Amino acid sequence: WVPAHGPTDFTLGACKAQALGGGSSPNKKSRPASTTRFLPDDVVGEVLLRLPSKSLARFRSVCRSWDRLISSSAFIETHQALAVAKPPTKFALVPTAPPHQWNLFPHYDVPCLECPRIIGPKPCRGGLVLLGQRCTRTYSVCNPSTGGRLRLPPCLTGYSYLSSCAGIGFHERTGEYKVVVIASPTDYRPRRCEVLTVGDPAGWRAPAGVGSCSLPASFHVQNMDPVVANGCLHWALRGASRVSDNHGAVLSFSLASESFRRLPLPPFTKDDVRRCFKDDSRPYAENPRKPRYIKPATPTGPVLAELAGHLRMLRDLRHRDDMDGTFEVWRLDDDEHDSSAWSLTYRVDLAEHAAKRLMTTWFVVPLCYLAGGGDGDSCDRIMLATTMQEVHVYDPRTRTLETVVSVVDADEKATSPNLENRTKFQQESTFSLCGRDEDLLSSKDFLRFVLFQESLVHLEGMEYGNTELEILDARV
Amino acid sequence: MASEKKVVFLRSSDGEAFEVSEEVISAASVTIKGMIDEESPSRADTAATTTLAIPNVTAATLSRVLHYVNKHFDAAAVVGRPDDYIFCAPGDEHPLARFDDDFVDVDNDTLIDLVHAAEYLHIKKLFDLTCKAVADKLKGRTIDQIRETFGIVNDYTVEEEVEVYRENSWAF
Repeated sequence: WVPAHGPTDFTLGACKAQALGGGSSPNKKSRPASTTRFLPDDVVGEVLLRLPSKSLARFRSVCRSWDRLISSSAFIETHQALAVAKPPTKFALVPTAPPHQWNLFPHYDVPCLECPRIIGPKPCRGGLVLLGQRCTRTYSVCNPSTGGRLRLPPCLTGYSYLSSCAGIGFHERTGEYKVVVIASPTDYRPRRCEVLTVGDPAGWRAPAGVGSCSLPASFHVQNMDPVVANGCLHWALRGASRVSDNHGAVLSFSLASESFRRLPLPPFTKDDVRRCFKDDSRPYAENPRKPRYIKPATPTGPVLAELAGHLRMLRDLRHRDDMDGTFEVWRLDDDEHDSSAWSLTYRVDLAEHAAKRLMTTWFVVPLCYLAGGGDGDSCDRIMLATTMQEVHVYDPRTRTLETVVSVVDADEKATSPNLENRTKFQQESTFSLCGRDEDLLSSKDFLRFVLFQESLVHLEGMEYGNTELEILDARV
Repeated sequence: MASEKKVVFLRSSDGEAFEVSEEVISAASVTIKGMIDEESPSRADTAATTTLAIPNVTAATLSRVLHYVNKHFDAAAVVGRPDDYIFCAPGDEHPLARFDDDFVDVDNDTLIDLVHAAEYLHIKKLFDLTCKAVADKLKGRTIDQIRETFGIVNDYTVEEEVEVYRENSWAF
């Protein structure tokens, strides 16, 4: 299936040619076109491709040929490709356990929040996401659309880690999923990195390509999740301190060679990449959702994202007096030979009243362009997720935001009767809701949801029926 | 010449002829574009209008299809981007999205006729739309209802059926 984005593409060729591996196409032209109550097999296949994963799982029981078709890899891939080609309308959310104790140091517990958590705002190939509990460093690979969950063995065993971050990527050439974890111990021992190839009985192991100096000393493990693009996982490295001249860089981990390399940052000034602290006396705008004067609790600086297959970096201009605009999106053009160039490809420039909405939220992560698969023309809309646990659509023509998803805390949800009104708010209604309960949402360091993609992908060893994922609809 | 829009006539299986702009229908239907291209050498510089036989589509269905095609082509001409409506943000009220919803809000037989017509005429957007509409109708049905709808005979043994049910029991 080749998603047709061209303005005059009316051809059926692409979707017919792909058909469905099993190939069941009697000469359709010889069939009487109308009055037949049943559809020919190849059309049935096309219809099945447009069903959600859950219905398809049930319909495997219809008969042997449907089962063969639905579980064939060609069908699964075409079904997945169709889902990817559609603009996202749903998000998956994992209910968070209440804060619990996390035994970090001997005789000392710290509370563990946001656990478990879906890692990264976008699924990797096949709609799969990584689910992690940082207190126990246990990870699962999850298909939110079937609820399938593959529990990975415990990693980084032996001693405790203050911080860790993990990511999952799909290695195209071998067709393997790889999970990467980097963690800093609570003492002064060096950081460690472990890799697991899903389905490999070897389990967690050292990365194959890592030399002694691959993990840079200045690597600050942030809570922001790695971003997958070009077959690599990427982390934004931050300068070591706010007084140092070190601007930071992008750390890239190749899923193929399992080795790290550094990529330069875009030509940003020090102000763009500097680390902010709680005690910074920057004049933060008033938060329209929480009238109280709050300061973000974690450093921002450059945020990485993946849009239309390229690595992007978001330049945060929200609190800059010297530059116009709200955000800039820079694209990395990276080739194999270590030459990489950043270019400015898109601007988010909010009108004043709309900008308020994004002023105090800490991380703002671009999710995707809502356009014909192009590379973000300046007039294309873009979907932005924020750590206010909201998703907005920015329209450059009007310079406004439309809020399409707003996640409400689980406790609050249980007590409120009008749940269905929550998933898509008009701005007015959100304000009034917050006016009623100003602690409805709080500024957190993570996104609690992930773009949802229909997918039938099953991994050997996945369990079903035990994953309590919630699916949020971006439409009412 | 510029103001004179070329038209073609499409003759349905039951003999009714429909007039449609050549430009509109060739943009929409790969099959008809092919037919027109085949015809064109013979009718160069002749004033005679072309009538194309569409033997697989009835008048009732063909008129619906042309309604769809005209609507979408007109909208495309206004917006300038024919595929624009597909990429509307969640919740966006696009006039064509509404039109599409109403268009496929028909009984099963009519819908299936539309699927056949869209397939035969190679109108991709209509084929996508109608297949999706059929899928939406099937989504909530039970296994038995599906078998009945498609005239499928259950060819599983009891053991096999239990096994495939067990594997997918999360979905029931």
